[in-house]
Amino acid sequence: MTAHAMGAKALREAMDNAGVGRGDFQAAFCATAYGGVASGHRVLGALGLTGVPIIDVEAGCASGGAALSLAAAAIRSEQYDTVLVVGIEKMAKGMIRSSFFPTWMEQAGLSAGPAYFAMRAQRLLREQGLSSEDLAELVVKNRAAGVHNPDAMFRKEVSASQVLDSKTVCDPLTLFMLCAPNEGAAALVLRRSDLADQDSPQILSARLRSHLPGSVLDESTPLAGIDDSDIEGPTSLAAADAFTEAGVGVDDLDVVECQDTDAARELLVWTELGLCAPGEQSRILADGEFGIDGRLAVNPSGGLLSKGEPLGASALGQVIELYRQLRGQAGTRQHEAARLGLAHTIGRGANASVTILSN
Amino acid sequence: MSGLIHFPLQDVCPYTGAKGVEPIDLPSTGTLWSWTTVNASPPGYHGAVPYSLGIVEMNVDPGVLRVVGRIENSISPESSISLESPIPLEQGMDMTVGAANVALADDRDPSESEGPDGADPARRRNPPVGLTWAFFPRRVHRGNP
Repeated sequence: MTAHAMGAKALREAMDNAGVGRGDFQAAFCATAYGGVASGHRVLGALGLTGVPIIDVEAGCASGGAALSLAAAAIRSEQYDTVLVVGIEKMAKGMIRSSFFPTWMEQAGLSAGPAYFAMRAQRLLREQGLSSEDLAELVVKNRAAGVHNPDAMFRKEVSASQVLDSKTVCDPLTLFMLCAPNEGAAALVLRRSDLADQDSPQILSARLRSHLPGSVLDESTPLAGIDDSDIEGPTSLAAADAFTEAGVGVDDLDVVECQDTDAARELLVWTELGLCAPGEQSRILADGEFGIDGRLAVNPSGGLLSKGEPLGASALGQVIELYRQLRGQAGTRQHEAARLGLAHTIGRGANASVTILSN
Repeated sequence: MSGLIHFPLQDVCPYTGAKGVEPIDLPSTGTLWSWTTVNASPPGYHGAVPYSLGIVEMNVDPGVLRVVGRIENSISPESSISLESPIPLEQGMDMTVGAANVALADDRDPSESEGPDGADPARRRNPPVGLTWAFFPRRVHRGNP
C-alpha cells in the first residue's frame, strides 16, 4: 500500500469518527518528509475531497506536530472552523537517507544518523551518571507497553539482557535501542470547540520551535559547536512555549508521548521537558514511575521503539494516543487518571514540537 | 560582532546574523570529546566499514570549538597516513588534525576503459577518491618529552 493510500484510509476513519464529511471542512494539512510533491492532494484526491486549500508540511520528525500547530492556529484565529490533519510516510529500511545532507558529507561518512545519536547517548551517560543498563531498561519499559498496542510494529516484550546483547549499531547503542524506520499514517479532525463532540479532548497548545546555534550534537547536525551548557535545546524551547500557552505545568501531566528515536533520546527528553531531574532516570525506571500504571505514563503507546517511525505520521500518532488515553479508549494500556497529556517530537532541522491536550 | 568561532566558514555569523565574518586558523590539535564506530554503510557512502566518527574539542579564543570529523586510527586503504597499530581511543586524549581519503561513487563509463569486457586493472587499482579533514590520535609519551 502506498503512503498516500494509507493516508486516505486513516483520514476516512478519522472523518467517520468525527462525523465530518465533504463540505464540513475548509482546509487540510498533510505532514510528510518523503511523500513527494503535493502529497496532501494525492491523499484527499483518493477520497474525492479536493477543492479546499491543501498544504503539505515538512519539519523532519516533527512534521506532524508542525501541521497540527498550523491547523490549531487557523482554528484559533477563526480562519476556519474545521480542518483535516493527516500524516503519511513510507520509509526505506535501514539508515535513513536524508536530502538534508550534501553529497560530500555522505561520501565522507558524516551523514550516519545513528553515530550522532550514539555520541549524544555517550554524553548523556557521562554527564548524568547513567549506564547502558539504563538505556536497556528504557527499551524494556517501552516494549512492555507496546505489547498492549495493536497498532505497534513490535508487540513482544524484551529483557534488558536481550537489548544489551542485540547487535551493536554505534556504541553504546544496540539495534534494540534504536527505533525502526517504517510506514504508516495518522489523521485527525480539528474543530472549533463549539462544533466538536463535547467528550473530545481539547488542544490547549501546539507549538513548534527550531534550534539555536551552538550545540554540536543538536539535530541540526552541525559540523561544529561551542560550549553549549547555556544554550537551550529546541525541546525545552517548545515545551516552555506550550506550557505558557496552555497555562499548565509539568506536574499537572498524567500522560506523555515523547520522542524515543533511540533509548538515550527519551532519557534526555525527560530532563528537557522537566519530567525529572538529570540523573533521576535510573531510579524512575527501577520504580516503574513512568510505566502505564505509574505516577506519569510516558510512552504508553510503546513509543517509536515499539511502533517504528513513519516520519510524517509519528507526531500525529502520539496525539492520537493521547486522544485515546484522555477518552479512556486505550484498552489494556489505559493510564488510570489520564486528564492532561503532552506529545513531544524532536528531529531533523532541528525541529521540536510540543502539543498539550486536556479532556 | 559576536567574537564566537564557527566551523566551517560561512558568509554570515550563525549566532548573530552579522556580516563581516573573519576567517581564522584553527588549532591543528585538540582533545577527543566523543567518538563512535559506524558498523554499516550509511546511504551515499562508498568507503570501508567499520569506520570511526568523533568530535574533537579545540581551544580557541573565546572558549572551545567542538568539531565533527572522521577518526583515522588504523591501517586502512582509505587512510592517507598509516599507523603501525591502532591506538586505543580515550576520552580527552590528544588528537591531531590531518586529511584522509574517502572513496567516491565510481560512475565512470565502463565502456571507456581498455581491454575485453571493460576490465581494466589500473581502473580497479585507482578508484576515484576525495579528501576530507580527519583526526588522528597522537602518540604522546607522557613524562618523556
